[in-house]
Amino acid sequence: MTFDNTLQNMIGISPFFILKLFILLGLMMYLAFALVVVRQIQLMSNVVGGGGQYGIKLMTLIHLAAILLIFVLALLTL
Amino acid sequence: MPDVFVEETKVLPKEKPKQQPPTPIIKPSPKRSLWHRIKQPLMAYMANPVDMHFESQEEKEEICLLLRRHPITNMPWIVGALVMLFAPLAVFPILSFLNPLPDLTARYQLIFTLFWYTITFSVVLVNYLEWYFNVYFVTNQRIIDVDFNNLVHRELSSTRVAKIQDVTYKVNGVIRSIIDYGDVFIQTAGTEENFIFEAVPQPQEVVKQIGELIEKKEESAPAEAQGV
Repeated sequence: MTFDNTLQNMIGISPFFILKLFILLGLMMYLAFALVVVRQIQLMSNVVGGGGQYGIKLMTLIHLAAILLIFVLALLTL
Repeated sequence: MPDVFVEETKVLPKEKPKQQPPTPIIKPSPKRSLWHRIKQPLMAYMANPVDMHFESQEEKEEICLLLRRHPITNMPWIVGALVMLFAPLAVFPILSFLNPLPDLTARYQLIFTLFWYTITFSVVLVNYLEWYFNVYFVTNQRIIDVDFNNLVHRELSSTRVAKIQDVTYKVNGVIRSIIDYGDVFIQTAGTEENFIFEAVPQPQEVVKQIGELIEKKEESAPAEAQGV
């Protein structure tokens, strides 16, 4: 009997479903963190502005896009 | 008798002259080379930066110095990020060998790997932003300290150059002496808070610049008092 079958017999739910749930919850919180980062950079750019702002904003958007991509990937493939 | 065959000339109201929009405080940035644009976000000492501005900048206020902590102070988190970057190459084969969760498919491993590298990128990004936005400005009017301690806390302190009583610097340690960075202490008058520029490059030059600004203010103070 495999590991997941053993657990499923014990608790009635597939352990991989629970694992997927926790992964998605974690990724949602991480996504919220990325949104906070984007917003805070917008606010800080008003406080301290300069020529390097575009690169920084681009990095934060890439960061957000990466997390969104991983979230969608986890949602669809796991 | 009024002439009914001639149209009365209508006197049109004079158009009010359009008010010129106020001149923006932010001066248009001159064309900079690509190399300058790349290295500018990494610079910790900038004299007379033309394309920088801050929130409470006044109309005739010009930035004389822009200072940040010396880039060498970022070494701890850079080393940590490098360790995180190469950790999967060492840890994942060991985990595969030990195989604690035999039924974990390759999809989970892919998601974990991508998640790990995104976390690494987050560590680099947040630490860089903390360094970039923790900035000190020395202008012809004020000294400004912008603190960005974490993502949800920021603070801006300023004082007039005329209120500065004493400026000193300290360079302690071998590394600081070799690389030439240290702390600049600015004492202000009365109950005003004192300022500390931590780990800034060329502290002796910073002290010199602030001293020159104070002298200029003292020389121009009688003229300003007379209204000249």
